[in-house]
Amino acid sequence: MTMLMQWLQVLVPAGVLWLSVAATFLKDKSFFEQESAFVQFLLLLPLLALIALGVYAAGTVLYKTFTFNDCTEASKDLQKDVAEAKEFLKKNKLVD
Amino acid sequence: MADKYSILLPTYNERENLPLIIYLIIKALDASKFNYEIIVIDDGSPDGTQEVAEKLQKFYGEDKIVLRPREKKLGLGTAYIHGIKHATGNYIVIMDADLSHHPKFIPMFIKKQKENNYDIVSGTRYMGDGGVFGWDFKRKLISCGANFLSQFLLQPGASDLTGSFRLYKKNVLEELVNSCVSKGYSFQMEIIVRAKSKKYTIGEVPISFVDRVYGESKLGTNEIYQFASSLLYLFATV
Repeated sequence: MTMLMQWLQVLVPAGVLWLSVAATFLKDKSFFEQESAFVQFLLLLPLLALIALGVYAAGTVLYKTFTFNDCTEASKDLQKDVAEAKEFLKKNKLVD
Repeated sequence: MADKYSILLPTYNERENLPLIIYLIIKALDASKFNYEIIVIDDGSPDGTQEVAEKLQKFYGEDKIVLRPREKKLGLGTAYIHGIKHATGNYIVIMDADLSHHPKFIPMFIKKQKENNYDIVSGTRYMGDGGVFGWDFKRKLISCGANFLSQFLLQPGASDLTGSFRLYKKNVLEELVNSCVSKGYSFQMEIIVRAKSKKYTIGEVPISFVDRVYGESKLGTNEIYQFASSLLYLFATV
């Protein structure tokens, strides 16, 4: 099964469920006329989930960027290795 | 039969780096006493890389350095296929020839592979003490963003999807390369995603990547667009 299908398997039933709940409550009253705050929360749930996802994504990406390993040691070690290699190659006349 | 590691080195205009990388590979692998060969696949470099390769072959021996050049720049996927055809090892190591990948990690890949008989060992820049030298903030941000997006959408089971420093069982690489259609960064990503869908096992070893392309931008809008469309393609079809 493709990743797309795996996502749809979860999102489609969840979406249908939410739509039926929304339709039931919005049949007679608009969003602002709803009596229960919990119902209003349910109606906003997809939007809130999207915002939460966005915050999580931005946070994770920024965190990973700021803590990204710069490998300065690796660069220094490489320079040493390159010098060692060049010496060997010159000695054996493999480079000019 | 004993294990043998075929190290594929696709080259294009690496006249200066080729002797250096070969020295370092031989140093790392002779020390660990592994049986190996280095297959240089030069795509008709105009700077004389092939002549340098021939000189090195004469010095180190034909069993250590194998030359399988091609006439012109034909791309990485076909270079792997070409290399695999001539490889006498049962394991294949792929890496860059420009010194951004340090051969000292190859024995670590081999050790990791033996831990669990992994089908693939991938060098990762995004896990453990892996990392990159030479990236500015913007470049890091783009990479981390792209990595997050691909992890989120594809759940690949490997932390570095676009890396090209890996060890494969020969038959596994052969099958994967033949089933891939992408080019560039996306090609490396597609290999991992298809590997996962075929239930191949992937081990990871943190590596340091020393970016050697100074000043030049390896990451233009073209590459980003290609990456994004490849991501969606893999999301929808694999």
